[in-house]
Amino acid sequence: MGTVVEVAISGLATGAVYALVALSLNMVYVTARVVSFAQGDIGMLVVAGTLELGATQGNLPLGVRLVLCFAGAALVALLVDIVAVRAIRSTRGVTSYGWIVSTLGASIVLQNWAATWFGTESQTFPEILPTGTLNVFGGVVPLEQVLTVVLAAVLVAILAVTVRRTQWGRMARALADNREIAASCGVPVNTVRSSVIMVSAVLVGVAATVQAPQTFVNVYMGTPLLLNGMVAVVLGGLGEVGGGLAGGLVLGLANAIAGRWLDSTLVPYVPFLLLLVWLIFGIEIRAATRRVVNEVLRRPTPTGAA
Amino acid sequence: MKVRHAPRRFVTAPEVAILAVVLVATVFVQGTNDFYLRIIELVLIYTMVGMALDLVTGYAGQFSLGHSGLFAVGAYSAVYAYLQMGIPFPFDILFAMLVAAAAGLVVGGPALRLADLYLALATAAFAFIIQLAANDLDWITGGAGGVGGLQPSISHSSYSAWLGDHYLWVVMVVFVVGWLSLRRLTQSRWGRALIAIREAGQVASAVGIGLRSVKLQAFVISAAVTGAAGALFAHLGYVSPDIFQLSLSIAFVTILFLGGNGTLIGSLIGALVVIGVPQEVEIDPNVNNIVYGALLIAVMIVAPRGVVGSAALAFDRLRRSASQPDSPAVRPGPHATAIEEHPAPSGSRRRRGAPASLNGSVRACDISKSFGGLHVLKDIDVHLERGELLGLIGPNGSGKTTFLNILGGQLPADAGSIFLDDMCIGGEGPARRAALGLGRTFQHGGLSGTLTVRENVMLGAHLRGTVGFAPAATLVARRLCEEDELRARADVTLDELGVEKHYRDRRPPELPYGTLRLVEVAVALAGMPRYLLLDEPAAGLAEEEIDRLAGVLDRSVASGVGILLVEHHLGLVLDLADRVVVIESGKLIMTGPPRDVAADPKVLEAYLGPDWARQATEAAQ
Repeated sequence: MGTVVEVAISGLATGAVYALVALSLNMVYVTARVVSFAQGDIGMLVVAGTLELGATQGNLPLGVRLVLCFAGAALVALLVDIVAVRAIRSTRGVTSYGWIVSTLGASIVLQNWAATWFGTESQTFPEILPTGTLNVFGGVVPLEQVLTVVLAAVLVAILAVTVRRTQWGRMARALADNREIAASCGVPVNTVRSSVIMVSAVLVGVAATVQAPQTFVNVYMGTPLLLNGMVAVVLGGLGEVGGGLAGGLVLGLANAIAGRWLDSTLVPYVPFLLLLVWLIFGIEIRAATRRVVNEVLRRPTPTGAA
Repeated sequence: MKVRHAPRRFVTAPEVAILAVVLVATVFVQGTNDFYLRIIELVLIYTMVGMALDLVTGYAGQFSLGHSGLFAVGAYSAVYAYLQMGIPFPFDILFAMLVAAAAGLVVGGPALRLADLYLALATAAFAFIIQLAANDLDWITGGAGGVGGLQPSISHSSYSAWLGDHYLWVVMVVFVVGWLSLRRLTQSRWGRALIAIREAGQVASAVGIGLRSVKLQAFVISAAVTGAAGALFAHLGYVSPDIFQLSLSIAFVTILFLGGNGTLIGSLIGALVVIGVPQEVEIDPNVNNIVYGALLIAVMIVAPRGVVGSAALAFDRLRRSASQPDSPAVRPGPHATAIEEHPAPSGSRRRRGAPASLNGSVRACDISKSFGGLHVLKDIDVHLERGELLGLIGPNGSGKTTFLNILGGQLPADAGSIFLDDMCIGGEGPARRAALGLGRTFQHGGLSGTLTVRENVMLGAHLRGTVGFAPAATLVARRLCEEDELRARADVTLDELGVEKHYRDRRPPELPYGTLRLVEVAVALAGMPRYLLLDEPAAGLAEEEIDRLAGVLDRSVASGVGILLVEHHLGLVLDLADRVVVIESGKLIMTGPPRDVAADPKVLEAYLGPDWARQATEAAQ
C-alpha cells in the first residue's frame, strides 16, 4: 500500500508538470491553430534566465528574478507567435505544415540564443517549494511532490474560473470558437490572442520552474518538456483542454509505474511507445472501449460507431 | 493510338550541367586536402537525405521528423553487416538500404494514416526510439561510446581498401545514381501521383491512385535512399548515438526547406549552406544554429517552396509572361442555371442507334444515407447502362451530389448495394472503383495547382500507364515512351474539349472558370472510363463551351460510355439524356424519357412549387 501511494504521488507530481505544459500547448492551439514547437524552450528561458540573473545580479531575491523572467518569457512567446506563426499565414496554400517548420526554427533560435549566454553545461536549480516528507497511508512522500500537484490544481482552477467568469475569458473562448465571428462582434482578436499566448507562456514557465529542482537544468531541457507535453496533448485529444490535463496525469503515472516496476533501460521508451500506440491505434482503442462499455451496460451500439 | 515519339533524351541539359558541376568539384577537391574531401563527402551524403525527405515531405506533403532514425538504421545496419556479418564494402550499403526500407515499411505502414502534426510526432517518436535503442544495443552500436574503425581504406579486402582510398568517388557515384533515379521517378506518372496526393487527393483517388499505397511506396523508397546515405556516413569512420538526435532530423528538414521543397537537387544548396559553410567558416556553433533557425523561419515567410523552388517558380512565371501576353479571361457567373437563360442548344446532336454488344451497367439498389437525423437519400434505385446518358435532376439540396459521392466511393452508404457489371463494389474505395472503369468529376474542382493543365489531364490518364515505380526509376526509355503516350492522350482529350493550346502549360488557378471546368471533364475522360459520373459540368460555362461539352459527351456515349449527368441546366439534360431520373428531398420521384419528365406535374411542382406548377400546367394546356 505504501509503495502504491508513493508511486501514485510521484506519478501525479510529474503528471501535473506535463499537464501544465499540455494546457499551455492547448491554449495556443485553440487560439492560433498551431502547436508551437518552441513552447518548451519558453519554459527553459524562465529557468535559465532565473539562474543567469542570480549569477550576474546576485543581490536580487529569487522571487523578483522569477517574476522578471516570467515577464520576459511571455514577451518572447509573443514574439515567436508574431514572427513564426502569424507571419507565415500566407503559406497555408503551399504547405499544410509550414508552422511546424517555422516553430521548429524558433525553437532552434531560442535554444542556441540561450546557450550563448547561459552555456551548455547543466546546473542545479534552487528548491522553490518547501521540502520535507509526509506520511500518507503508510507511504513516505516528498512534500514538494504533493505541493506540485496542489499548485497545478490551483492554477488550473484559477484559469478555469477566469475563462468562464470574466469578459477576457469570454472573448478568448469566442476567439477559439470562430475568429471571424468574434472579430465581427468587436472582440479585439489580436490583443486577445496575444494575451492568451502570454498566459500560455506563464503556464509552461511554471511547469519548467517546478520541475527544475528535480532535474539538472540546461538549455536543452525544453525539448523533453515539450515532448512530454505533446504526448499528453495527443493522449487527451488536440484542443481538448480537459483531455490534455488528464493525458498529462496518465503519462506521469505511466512513467512512475514503469520507473518502479520495469527494467530501468526500458523506462525511457515508455512515453514514445505510449504515443505511437495511441496515435496509430487510438481510433480503434476508443471504438473498442465504447463497444465494451455499451456491452456491459447492455445498450445498443449506435449506428456508424463501428 | 499512334504516337510520334520525341527523340530519346537519356540525360537532359540541366542534368548534364549539374553532373558537370559535381564532377568538376570532385576532381578539384580530390587534389586538395582531406578537410575539403570530408566536407564534400558530408554535403553529398546530407543532400541524399534531403532528396529522400523531399520525396515524402516535398512531393507527397507528408511531414517526417523520423529521417534521423532511418539514417541511424542505415548507418548501424552497415556497421553490423561490415563488422559482424563480414559483408565487404560497398555491398553492405545494399544491406543497409534493405534494412532501412524494411524499417520504413514498418513505420510508414501505420504512421501514414496520420498527417501533419500527428505524423510529425509519430515519426519523431520513432527517431527517439531508434536513438534510445542505439544506446542500449551495445553489441551492435558500441553503446554510448560509439563504434569506430569503419573506414574501408583500412579494410583487409584489397578492393574495399582501394575504394576506401577513393571514397569521395564512391559517395559521388551513389549520389548521382540516387539523384537520377529519384528525378526520373518524380517525372513519371508515379511522381505526378505523389504531387496529386498532396494537392488534389480527392481527384487523385477518383482517377485510380491508391493514396495510401503510393504514400507508403514513397516512404519506403525514401527510407532506402536515407539508409544508403547512413551507410556512407558510417564508413566515414565513426558513429555514436549522439549523432542521431532529433536535431539531426531538424537539420535534414532545414536542408530541404532552405534548398527547395519539391525540387530534389535544391537540397544540394541547402546542404552546402547547413553543412559546408560552418565547416569552412569558423564561428560559434550556437551563433551558427541561430542563423539556421532564423533562416528556416525566413524561408517559410518569404519563399515557402525553398530557395530553388521559389526561384524556379518565379522564373517559370517570368518566362511565360514574356513569351505569351495573357489573353483576356472571360469569367461567366458561376451559377447560370435558369432554363430561360440557356435555351436548349439548337439542332439535334443526338447520335442514335444504340451501340450494339456493349453490355454492362452500374446498378445502385435501395441506397439510403443520413447525416445525423437528416435523411439525405431514401431507397434510391438507379441503374446506368453502357452507351446511355442518364440525367439526374432535382432541386438544390435534393441529394444529387451525395448520391454521386456514394456511387464514386467518396462516401459510404448506410444501406443498399452497388453493382458494377454485376460485381458488388459497395465496399471498395474510390481508387478501386476507378480501376474498374468508373470515372467522375467533382462539383468543386480540386485539381492540382502545381501541375500544369496538361499534367493534370495526364494524371487523369494514370491508369492508362503501366510503368510502376521501379521501372520508372531505371528504364529510361520505357518511362519516356509512356510519358509521350500519356501526353498525347491528354492533348487529344483537351483537343476534343477545345481547350486552347496556350492554356495547357499553365496551372489551373490561372485559367478562366469555364476552361477550368472543361479541364476537369478532360481529367475524368483521360482515364477512358466505361462509366462516367459528372457533377454539374456545365455550371459557369459559356454557351459555346456548353456546345463543345455536349458534343464530347454525345460522342463518348456513342462510343459506349455510360454517363450519369447531374446538372441544373435542364435544357442540356433534356436534350442529351436518354432517360432522366428526378429526385427530391432524397426520394426518387420519377424516371422516364426527357419529354415525359419535362411535362410531369410532380417534377414541375418539385422545381417551381405547387402554385407555379399549376399555372405552368394550365398554360401548357
